[in-house]
Amino acid sequence: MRISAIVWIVCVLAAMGLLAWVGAPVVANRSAGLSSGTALIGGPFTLIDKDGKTVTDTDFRGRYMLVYFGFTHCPDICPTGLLLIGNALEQLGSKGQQIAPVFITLDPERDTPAIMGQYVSHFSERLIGLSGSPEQVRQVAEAYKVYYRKTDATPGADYMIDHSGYMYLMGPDGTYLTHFPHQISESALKDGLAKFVR
Amino acid sequence: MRHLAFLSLLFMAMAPAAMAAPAAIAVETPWIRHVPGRENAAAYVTLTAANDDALSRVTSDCCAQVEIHEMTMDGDVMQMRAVKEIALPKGMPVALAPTGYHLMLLGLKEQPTSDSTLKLTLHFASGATQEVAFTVKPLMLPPATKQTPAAHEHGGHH
Repeated sequence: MRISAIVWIVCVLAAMGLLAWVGAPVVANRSAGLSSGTALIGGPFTLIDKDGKTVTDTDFRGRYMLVYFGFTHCPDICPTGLLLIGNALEQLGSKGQQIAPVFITLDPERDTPAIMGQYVSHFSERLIGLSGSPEQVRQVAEAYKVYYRKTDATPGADYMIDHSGYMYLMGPDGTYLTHFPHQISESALKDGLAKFVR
Repeated sequence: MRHLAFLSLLFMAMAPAAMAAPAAIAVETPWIRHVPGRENAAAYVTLTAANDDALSRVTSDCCAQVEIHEMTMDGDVMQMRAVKEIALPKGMPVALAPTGYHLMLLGLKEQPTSDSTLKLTLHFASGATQEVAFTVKPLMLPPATKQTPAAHEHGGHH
């Protein structure tokens, strides 16, 4: 009995050693992959603003960025979220001015850069609407871990876009700080932003 | 005498229908949110049915089509889907409100101006219909809790 226990322990230890030996390169590879940036959310993007000008993530360095994704054919959630953001930033006063609120379309086929600019202007003067090529939009959505999918359009009706709906706060150096759910209340968003913005 | 009997029978037959129809569904705060320039808009309202019923269809001359939509969550993912009807259990107020149910107006024929009204006809499963004037309130958060707007406006800031 005692011998079999010892054999068992030796086997387990050997297996662990083997795992450590086999696993080591894998772990090393994975950490090497992450070493380029600690942020799992965010990163470089290239999009187009209302004037047709190319905008990248580096243009926002030195400012906080509140990033929200959606599409202008959405009559319910997106306006609600944009109103929330506009009102919360207004209430934050000078702290709010350090935050660049960015609304990125997930529907580049219909939402041209000009439409995005015009659309966001109805919610807040501060809002920056961005679009781009389908490939550019896919890239930024991937960077922010945003899921989006066109719904099947019934004949004669518009398609909608299912998407995850968080607001991402990025720091002045471009790193991810936190995110807020789209159902957040205005005061909770205001308080949440105030906690991070110095 | 026979005429009188006939008339009273007629009145008795008509009375329940005449009385029930107008009050069957109570309609509160019908409003529309429209972003200028957009060809669609969302309409919101709170409905209370006197008897079990359902909102089954909405029609209007103001746009090409009206769909009854529901926002649902699939994990983190927000989805908007047309639903066949919205159940209106007897006596229970059912709110069509942002991030829940809304009436999606597709293909507006004209750009509505603020504070104007658009007429929508609500069709119920019971067969009743009701024309309701919805007020266009562009870009306002819903009148969430009626008793607190003053406190919200004067208290919250600075």
